[in-house]
Amino acid sequence: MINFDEEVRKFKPCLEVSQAEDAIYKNDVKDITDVLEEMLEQLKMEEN
Amino acid sequence: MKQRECLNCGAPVLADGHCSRCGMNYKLLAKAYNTSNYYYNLGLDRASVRDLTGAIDALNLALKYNKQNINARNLLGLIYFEMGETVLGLTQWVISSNYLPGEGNVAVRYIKEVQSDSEMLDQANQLAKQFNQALTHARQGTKDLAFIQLRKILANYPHFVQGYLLLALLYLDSGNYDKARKALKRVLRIDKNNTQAVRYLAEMGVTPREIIDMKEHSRRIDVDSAYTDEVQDQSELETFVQKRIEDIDKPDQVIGSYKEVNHVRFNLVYVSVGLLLGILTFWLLILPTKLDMAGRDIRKAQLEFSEEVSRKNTAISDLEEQITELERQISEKEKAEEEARQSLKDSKDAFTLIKTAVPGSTYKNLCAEAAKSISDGAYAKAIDMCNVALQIKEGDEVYYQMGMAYQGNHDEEKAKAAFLNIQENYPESSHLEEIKGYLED
Repeated sequence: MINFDEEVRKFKPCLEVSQAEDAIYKNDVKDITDVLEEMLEQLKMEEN
Repeated sequence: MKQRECLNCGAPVLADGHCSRCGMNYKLLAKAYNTSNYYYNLGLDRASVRDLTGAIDALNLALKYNKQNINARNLLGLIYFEMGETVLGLTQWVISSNYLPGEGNVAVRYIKEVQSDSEMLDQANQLAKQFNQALTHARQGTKDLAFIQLRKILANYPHFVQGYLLLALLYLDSGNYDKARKALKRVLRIDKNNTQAVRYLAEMGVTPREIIDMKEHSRRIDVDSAYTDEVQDQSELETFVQKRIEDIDKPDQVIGSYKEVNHVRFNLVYVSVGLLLGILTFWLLILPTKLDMAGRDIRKAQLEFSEEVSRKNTAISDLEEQITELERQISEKEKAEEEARQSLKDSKDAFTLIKTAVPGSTYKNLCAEAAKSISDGAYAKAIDMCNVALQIKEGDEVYYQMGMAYQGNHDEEKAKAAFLNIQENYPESSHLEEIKGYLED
């Protein structure tokens, strides 16, 4: 059975225009290239 | 053979398969970019059959493999836009135009279009604010207000999926399954495989077969038309008429053998059928309209009443909160007053005790200490002690010691003032004789 309070908690508030800038700056999702770059950096540091 | 360029930085790739500048493995990156494109294609396929939730999942995966996959990002923005999440869509387009600026990127055109229509942006902002307010009402338990707000939103923004889902949840909670089902049908029209909508329907006891049927039927809904909760009585009539037309068009109708009809014999039957048709017409055409009008009036009255009740409830809860706050303040003040009274009483008792017991002994001790200091030649210390003793009690002894200390300190004026004080105020002092000579000089 659906629990109203639980379900309503799952809804996220909508982004307002004033929050768009923040959302853009925070949207820094890592992709495979980023992960590989990090790995290479680590390897270089270990070699040094 | 043409030299390969690194997919990350564009520098030439070495023979060992690594970039000469950034050191990335070419094959690995190529595989990641291919996978990203695969998920983009999957997202595109899903979006084209209106499986928007599935498309969002696939496109997010595409961006995890290559966040600069412009097509995936633009399509993701477009899907958010379609679902009424304008700001989310804009966010994706802005990021996309940041990776690939210029007219070659369709996101730049989308942004320009949205920005040129200031009313659209304003409406999107308004929608977000109103939905957030409705969500707050739903969370706080003022569901009537949430209903009103959501109905208003969906009448103006018929594509807003989140709004339908919240409305459906509110209807489910209030046991109004028909209206919940109607809202969810709209969701399935916009987003065919919306998992949340399907879950709600399953919880309502709708079988998977019926859900598939609903998806098929939802195609008939004009998704751009304003959403209303009113039960569509028209559709019953439409269904009836459609069924009759289908009956007429049935090719497998059996045609019986020809017979001469005796009209006189069937007169009574004709009259009965006429009457029956009249009743049927009244039942099917006039009565539903009347019932619908009456139902609308009742619903309107119910809505107004529920709005009034919710307003009053809010006012009552505000007043109750004020009363609780005032009661709390009163009790705090009473408590503080009681504590102050108690502390005053304690202070008074302590003061009485100090006043009766301490001064005598302390005064004497201080005078004795001052005399000792004078005899040791520590006149400044003796003066300090006399000043402290004076704070406790005035007497000839302290003035005498003070005069002596000032005399020792070569402050004749103050010494004289102290001795004069003894002479004037303490005529029975034992020190009168000792200071007499000094005062005469």
